[in-house]
Amino acid sequence: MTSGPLTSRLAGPSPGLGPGPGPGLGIALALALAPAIALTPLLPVTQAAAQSSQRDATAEQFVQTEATRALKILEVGSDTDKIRQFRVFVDQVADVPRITAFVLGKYERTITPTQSQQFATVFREYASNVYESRLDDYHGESLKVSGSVVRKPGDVIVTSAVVGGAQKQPVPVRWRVLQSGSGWRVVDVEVKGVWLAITEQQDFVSTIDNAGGNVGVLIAQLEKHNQEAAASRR
Amino acid sequence: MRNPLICKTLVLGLAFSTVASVAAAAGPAVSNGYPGPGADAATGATAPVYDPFEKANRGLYHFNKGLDRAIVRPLAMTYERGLPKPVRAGVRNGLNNLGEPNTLMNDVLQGRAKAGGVTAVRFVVNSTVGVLGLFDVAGRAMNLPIHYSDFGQTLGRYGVKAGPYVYIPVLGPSNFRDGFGRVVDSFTGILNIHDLGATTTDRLAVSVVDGLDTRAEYDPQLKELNRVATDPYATVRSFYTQNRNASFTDNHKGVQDLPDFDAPAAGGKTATPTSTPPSPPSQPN
Repeated sequence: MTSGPLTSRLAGPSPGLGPGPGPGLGIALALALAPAIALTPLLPVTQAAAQSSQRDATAEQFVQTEATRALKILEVGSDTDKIRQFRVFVDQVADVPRITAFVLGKYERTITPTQSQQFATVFREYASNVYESRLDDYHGESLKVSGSVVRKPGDVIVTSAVVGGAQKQPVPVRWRVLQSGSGWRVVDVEVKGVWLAITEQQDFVSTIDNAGGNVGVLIAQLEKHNQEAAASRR
Repeated sequence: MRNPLICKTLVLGLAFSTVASVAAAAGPAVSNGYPGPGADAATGATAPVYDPFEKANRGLYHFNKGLDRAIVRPLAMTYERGLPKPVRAGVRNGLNNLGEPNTLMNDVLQGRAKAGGVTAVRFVVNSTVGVLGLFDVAGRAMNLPIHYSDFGQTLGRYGVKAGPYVYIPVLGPSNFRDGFGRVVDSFTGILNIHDLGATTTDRLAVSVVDGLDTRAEYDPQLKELNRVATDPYATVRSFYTQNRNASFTDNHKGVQDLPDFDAPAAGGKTATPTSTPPSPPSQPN
């Protein structure tokens, strides 16, 4: 899934509401807002909060190392080579079972063991298909970690920027890493405010809601998606 | 565009930037008491987007999709293919430049002195050296990339809640706060505040070109979204809401607002798909 620039303009200037009122009204409104401008010094400078918060150097190092490794995998080799290596990489770096549980949201508690098993399989394949279709988008980018915020112990948000390659401007990317037995694992990634796993959860939960709480409907949809992806590869 | 009016605009821009730098000097770096959105203390699962009109919204979403398929996308693609890339880039820069005064006003209202300064410089430089905004000189040569601020964002920064999510015909995803913000933005846009001699038709044309250009630019992303999402309506809603919240929530607070990743009483980690190496799809081909 691309959580890329789509949202930037969703929030940006958009076709206005058509013809506006005359200039007089506009000026009146601007004047009415003027007192608020005087209040602006009272607003806190927000960067200060980020600076004073706790960082975690090991989490930052983890993201820097693994992102560099990922971009290296994507640099050379045939498509099948890249896909094979990248799947191994994802299993090492991402906490797939935790993500699998998270994207089901409230339904994680009610799903049957059989469905849970089925979902884990189709979701893994679905997620792979989504990112594999985009592996060719990377050409010589690098990632620079710039800091981190400890949300709570073992739950850290690492801030970074993707630079170079096709990017005219550095693209800020944030990573959510959780401590697991063997070290850090990535569970979510954010671009332009949009977190991938959270979006996935809201997508999936809505699909299940609309099916009257039947997780099987989601599983069937993902299966269909996987079959289409497999067919398009042939 | 007539000369005195451009002067007026520039003066206004400079006045705002002065206010912004005063704000920067006077504003102490207070770290808390920030009037962000109330924390939706979500644990385990993400708090759902408040969408009491979901049924109607879905209807409008499908209406827009039909409209997009029949009219908007074909027009947008024709626009994209019909114009050479540099021309389209110039048009985009020009549209962006027209939006800068409103961004500046909202930067100032939000107390974002640095952002306001950037916007003011961008507007002045691009309107002059950049030939009425056709070239993004500030972005390219001065490393001052564009950002967008609007009144919905300003309200959000002061703690105004989003209210119900709404899907607006033609315009797309929004909510009560941002919809109201759009109305205000339409009053405070440069074509309204300044008598640039813009007629209703001109304003409409600007909006249409802006819409088509945006639609064309994000065509690959929209295609991907529709291909990948199991419920595109819910995915757009999630995108929009997260992106808007992030646009006025400071990093640190945004991090605290995230849902806990692990469900409190999850039924154990029974699913272990990673223990078996991922194999090529065994689906019937």
